[in-house]
Amino acid sequence: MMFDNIFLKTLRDKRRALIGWALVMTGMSLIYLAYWPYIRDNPFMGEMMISYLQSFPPGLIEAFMGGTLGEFTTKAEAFLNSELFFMFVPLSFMIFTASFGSDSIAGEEDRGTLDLLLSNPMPRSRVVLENFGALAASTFLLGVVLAIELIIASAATSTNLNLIRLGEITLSLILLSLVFGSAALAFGCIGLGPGMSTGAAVTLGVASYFLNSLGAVIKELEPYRKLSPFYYYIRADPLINGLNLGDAAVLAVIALVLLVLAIVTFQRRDVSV
Amino acid sequence: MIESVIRMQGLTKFYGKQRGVIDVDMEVQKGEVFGYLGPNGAGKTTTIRLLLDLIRPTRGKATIFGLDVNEQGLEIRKRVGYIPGELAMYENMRGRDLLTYFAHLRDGVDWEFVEGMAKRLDCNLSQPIRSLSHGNKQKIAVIQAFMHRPELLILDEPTTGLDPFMQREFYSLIAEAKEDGRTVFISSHILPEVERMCDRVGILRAGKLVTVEGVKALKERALRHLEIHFAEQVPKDAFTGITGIRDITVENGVMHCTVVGSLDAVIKAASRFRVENVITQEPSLEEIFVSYYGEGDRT
Repeated sequence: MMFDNIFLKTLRDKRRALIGWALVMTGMSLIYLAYWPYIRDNPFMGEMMISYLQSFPPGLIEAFMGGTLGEFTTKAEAFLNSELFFMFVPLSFMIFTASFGSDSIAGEEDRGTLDLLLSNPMPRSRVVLENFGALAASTFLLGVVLAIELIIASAATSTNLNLIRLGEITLSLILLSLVFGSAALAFGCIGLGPGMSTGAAVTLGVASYFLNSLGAVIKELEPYRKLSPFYYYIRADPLINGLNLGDAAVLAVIALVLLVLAIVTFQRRDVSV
Repeated sequence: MIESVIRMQGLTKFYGKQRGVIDVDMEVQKGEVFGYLGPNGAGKTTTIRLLLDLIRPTRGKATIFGLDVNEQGLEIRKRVGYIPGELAMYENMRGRDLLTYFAHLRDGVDWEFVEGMAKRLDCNLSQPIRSLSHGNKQKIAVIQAFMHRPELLILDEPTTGLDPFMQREFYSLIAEAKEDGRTVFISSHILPEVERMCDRVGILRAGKLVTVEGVKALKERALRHLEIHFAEQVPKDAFTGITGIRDITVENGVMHCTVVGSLDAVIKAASRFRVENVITQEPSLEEIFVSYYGEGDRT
């Protein structure tokens, strides 16, 4: 069954990585969520944290926690936004999708198995599409694992989370991650090696993260924030306000454009030995 | 009318400035076993990867079954079996998994036939590929190339790593493919192997096709190094003047020479003395080229 097509075979190849990432996500998120009740239930502690954080330049808070500290200690969603969804989770997801995307074509080419695979009767576009399908499915699965684990953890800590909003931020997260996964896939299809493809996609991701977060405080950068996929991921604050469909569509379109670019370039180029 | 299965017209490939192959014109007929002979780096793998549409020509074109390899590669690959020269396989899979995977990508194959081939080649399909020797990996490559019984087999140095017994088994697979009317395009840098399997041979040197000849004609011009050990002293004169003989030296009852074509006259001349041992050595491809075509352009 797992060898019926490239999609299933890729998922099978990635099963260990997927389990590993799911464990890391779960572990880290649990650690963060575990100390939420202490902050919520001890106003003194919350105030202490806020005054501590206020001693940093506001730019730093903006860059790593995403803006205002107002509801940070009183509202679970604001806490999760700052601690998880603003930086840690999207950057981790991005590393997962970037290495997945670059392993697809660049990795297989690097290991030398692409010759044998492409000697089968199928168009190259199918190889790219099925790899992208496996990437999307894995990212979706990882997102679902994160959401379920947050639901369980919030129940355990008597935290009221709006489940629909949690689903919406997860969807936004998946779309953002797919942008960088597709970028890595496209870099591999253009002809970069697996290390270079991952590196280029992660660099792009980190740069766009800072462009968005620093753009909020540095006036000169502000107009360029719209170039950053992170802007469309978090601008509407999906965990609190719900998903902005326009923003989600922008992310989906970027991912699809990169996928098309991957297919077109891969169809035209030589496969190296 | 003779039907061409492979046709190359002015097929040229450069990797940047580096030469792959230059202006290769060649036809392979239906049902023949065609040997593609050349030393390492001559451009054999480049030609084969052009045929599989893994790389694209700088100029010229190639067709297989009358179909353009770039435009109609999908149709072609349905009917082709391939063994790559640089064999790399999915190390984390078992042989059976890899064959199942490729069988699915080909929309199914006759699994009994696959099992039969595995048995015949003494190939263990249950072990992870990473734990197999190069020869055993090569057996899996052979099975995946033959398993859908393709009309055309394109094999890049397929006997690499096979032990002598398995090489013989492989030769009989090729002979059977020919009996079935299938076409085989096989690259090699070993002349005797090509002589044994093929009907015609194309010789490639430094990216250029030097000649295409029948194996019979090639054998008639075969070049061999001969060493005969005698139990007595023999005069050099006993061998001079024999057709095709050259580079004769005689020392302490051991005669060395190079012979082009039949050995008959040399052996008959030697039989007048007491012979203890006869050793023949196949020359290197480079020597053959020099012998056939002079020094030429080696770059």
